[in-house]
Amino acid sequence: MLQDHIIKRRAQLRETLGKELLVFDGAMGSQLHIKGIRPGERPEDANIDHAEWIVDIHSEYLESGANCILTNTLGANRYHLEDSSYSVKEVIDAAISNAHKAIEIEKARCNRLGIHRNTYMFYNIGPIGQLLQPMGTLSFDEAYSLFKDQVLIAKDQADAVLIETMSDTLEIKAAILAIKENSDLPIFASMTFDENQRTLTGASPLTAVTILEGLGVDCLGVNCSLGPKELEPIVMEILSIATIPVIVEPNAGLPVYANNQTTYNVSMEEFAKYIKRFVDAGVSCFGGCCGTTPEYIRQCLSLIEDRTVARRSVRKKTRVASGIDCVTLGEKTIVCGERLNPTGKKKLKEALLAQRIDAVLQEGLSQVKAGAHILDVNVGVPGIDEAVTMKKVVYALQEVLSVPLQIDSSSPLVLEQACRQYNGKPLINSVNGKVAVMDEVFPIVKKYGGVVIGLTLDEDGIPETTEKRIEIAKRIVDCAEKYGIDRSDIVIDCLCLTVSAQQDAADKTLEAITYMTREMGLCTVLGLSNISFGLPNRLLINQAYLLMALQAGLSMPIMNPLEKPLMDSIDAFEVLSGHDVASSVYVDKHAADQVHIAGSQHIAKTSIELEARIDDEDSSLTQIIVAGRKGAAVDRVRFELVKSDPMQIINEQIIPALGEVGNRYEKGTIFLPQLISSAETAKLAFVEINNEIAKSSTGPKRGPVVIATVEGDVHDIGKNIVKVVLESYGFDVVDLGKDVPVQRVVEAFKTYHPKLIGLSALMTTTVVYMDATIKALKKEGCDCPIMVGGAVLTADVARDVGADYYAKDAMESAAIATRIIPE
Amino acid sequence: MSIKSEALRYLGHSGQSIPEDQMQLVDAVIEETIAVAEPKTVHRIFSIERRDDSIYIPAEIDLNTKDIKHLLAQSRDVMLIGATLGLSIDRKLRYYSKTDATRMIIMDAVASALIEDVCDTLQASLPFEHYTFRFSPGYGDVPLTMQKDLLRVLEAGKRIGLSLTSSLLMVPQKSITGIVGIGEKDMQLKRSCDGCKLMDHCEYRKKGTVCYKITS
Repeated sequence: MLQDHIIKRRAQLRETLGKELLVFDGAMGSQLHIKGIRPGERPEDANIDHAEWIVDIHSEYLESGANCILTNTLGANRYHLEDSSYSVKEVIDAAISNAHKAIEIEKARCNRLGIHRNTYMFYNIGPIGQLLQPMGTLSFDEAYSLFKDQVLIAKDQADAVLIETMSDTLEIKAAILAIKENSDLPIFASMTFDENQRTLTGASPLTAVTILEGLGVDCLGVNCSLGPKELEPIVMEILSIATIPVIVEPNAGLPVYANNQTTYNVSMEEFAKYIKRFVDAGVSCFGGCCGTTPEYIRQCLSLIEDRTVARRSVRKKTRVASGIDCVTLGEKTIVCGERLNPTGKKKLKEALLAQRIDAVLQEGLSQVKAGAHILDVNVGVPGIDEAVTMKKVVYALQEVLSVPLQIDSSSPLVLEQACRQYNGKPLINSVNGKVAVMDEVFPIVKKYGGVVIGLTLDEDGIPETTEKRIEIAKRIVDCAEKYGIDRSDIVIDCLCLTVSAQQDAADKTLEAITYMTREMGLCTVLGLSNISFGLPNRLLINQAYLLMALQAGLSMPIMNPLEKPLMDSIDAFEVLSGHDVASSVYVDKHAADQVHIAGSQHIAKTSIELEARIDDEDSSLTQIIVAGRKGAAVDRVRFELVKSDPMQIINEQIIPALGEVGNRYEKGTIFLPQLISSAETAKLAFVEINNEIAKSSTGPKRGPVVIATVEGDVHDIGKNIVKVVLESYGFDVVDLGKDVPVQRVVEAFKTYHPKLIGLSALMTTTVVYMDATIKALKKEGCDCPIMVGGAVLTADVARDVGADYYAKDAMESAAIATRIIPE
Repeated sequence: MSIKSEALRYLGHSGQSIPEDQMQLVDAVIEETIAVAEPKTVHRIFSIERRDDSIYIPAEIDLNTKDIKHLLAQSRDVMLIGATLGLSIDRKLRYYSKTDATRMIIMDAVASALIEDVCDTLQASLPFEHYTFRFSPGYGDVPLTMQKDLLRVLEAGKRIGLSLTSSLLMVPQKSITGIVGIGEKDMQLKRSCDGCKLMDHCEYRKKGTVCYKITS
């Protein structure tokens, strides 16, 4: 139960924040080292072992003028305290009791002096100390649970919580959700940036601010890592974009190690000078991080006369983000790639049904390469577990791409689950004017801090008039407001109809876009391709309508970025509308353009044309593969396919080429990069041939082979090499990735019915998981041969863990696969 | 130059002629790796105290294994080092693992060479002349669990973003921790394969080379 005095203090804190300067304490760790803690000792243990030191340090800070103190709990989580003799609860309870004592001492001191001060105790949360997936091996749910443990202990005792020194936007999101879902604690959230103005995981200040504001923290900011001088540009940038109060806690410069001691290189005078500057610029809270002392805080306060927080005026903008990049709508034209949507795409539908996430990923990679800024992700296929698949696809995309994603589903459950684990501020597709839909989706938008697309349709369908569209948009914005969602987090899709069916409707959509943009100040999106349905040369219509819509004010077309003429039109529009300053992007991209004569641009189709495009020196596909010339493979295969049977090409050209490459590699006349180039070239040839075979629907692929780097292991380079080499031999490979839990390999065995399973492990510490994986497979009755490899594996170890085959390298894995999987 | 020759060695190159397009690719990837990497280092130097047959330093870490004691036998101080190329390289490698396997393996090798170079450069920048070679947890009789203590003493998570997974692997992947002795005179300690668990089936040794950088 929350006690009244805590409820009162929290209310008071929320009231004070942003109006009156809050002064935080300085370093705890550095002070503890002065008192006698050795490098490498756990500062959290001192809450119990040296409680009096902690109380003293808190008291000194309170006396120096700080009115907010942080409990000594930065690393008080299960992981950090693993080898400690104290439990998480013991440490946290002791830390809070120490802070309480200091506050009581300060109260008594103030009473003696006849003054009144409000002081606040912040429960301090720091990084877990392990990186979350995909960088490390900690899952989002585990991270959440580590934070939740702490919150449950602190929630009725502390006045607020300060999350500090965070680098990973996903980790801080887990912490914020753990606090919000389990307590009423006000949340202050601070991240750490390095000298290139990114967090260690790559988030810019803009990205961090966008995500943290979206998640609804009370105050956000920056601490640690750098001194105040190096932090200045970051602080100023944050102040220029954050619409909520800002906290700053710099280090006393950089650490200097000498004579077994650590000192910091910025004097308290210089430190205070910068803090004064930050306060004048509108910072709401300040304190110190590593190396600062009570004297630093006192020095700062001596320069600050007025404790009123300086006013800033910042306009909210429509922004979405990944954990790395942030995209602002309503400025330059933003392209959302539409292709990750199975509607009308047979191959993608099949890939999703077969859970071939890698194939789905390729659809994302190609769109980003073509210039998409955001990717729409829709995995709705009948008969699929949409929520599970959506999470897998979002994870796979975020593992290798840094563009923000647009989570697209008609199921609120899918939206909720995907948004929860999404790293960043998602774009959510969508709500519409139906009350029931808004009531289901807006709480998700609010909780996970997204931007949502509002479709201008309702129970009566898509309206024909501009006025009705405007009315629905207003209804959406009003309803969002009731859920506490700012209008900047709403973007409107004015929906276009098919022009061949309703010719005057094209213009109505554009009128609505203009109204939303000019009169309502909203950003707009539009799915383009509908417009041209039923007409010949649809691209031409799409291209013209795209330009008309952009001119009407459209912020983000949802379109196919692989259609180059559309992308080119946008490049031109950006020049003509003044967004592309000095035409620099345009010149960059188009300086080398050839002006084509009409008709010469289409892809070569006939053998004569292909022949003309093929280099004279390439006398055969075999030579292209041996030389590893990836760029030449596809054209050559197309050329060969005109005159030869697919199987003939494989047997007479590709297989001999691979044999030759293998020989040369074994003999040492070529080395690894050449082997891999050849393998990739052969793989491209196989893909092209398989496309041809698929057309005549014969010839099953060889495999599949399921491969994985085992649980606990993040080194997957060797496994990736095996994948390319196997694919070069025409094997169908399902790559489960790295750090693959035992259970997922078992599931994959059941899902894909592999002919061979390959497992890799690099370290002795992870071979145990290989053993566990094989045992689990056998327990499930797996009779599929298992092949293992990796740096620490030997034939003996392979036998000990129960593997059927040991492959010392990628070539040998191909030899094994060839032997046991019939053609 | 040394990064390139080291990277080629990691890639199994042993004197074959490299076609020009491959060589250009290697050069391009070296350039890209250097541009993408965000190298960071942290080091602490502690004086060694010797009592009975044991060594002590004023930090919460126990260095008393046979191999470390041998390493530090003639050293006055010990330097603990943490170094990393950062997560940006991991991210780039993940990207190439899905898009361009040739670049992936070359970048992997270049990054391994680069992180060694980062440590060498750090050591060369410090005012000491005589170092032992760098010894790391996992070598010889030094348990991998020592990584935990080493990273805690260095505050490596906070300082350079270097952390461990629960199976004690370092993240970011292109990272090094090291224990280095500092002494008055040339300590005549060369690195060798003695004590390496992989000695009997090492791919480098089969090719007549070693996995570490050979210094004169």
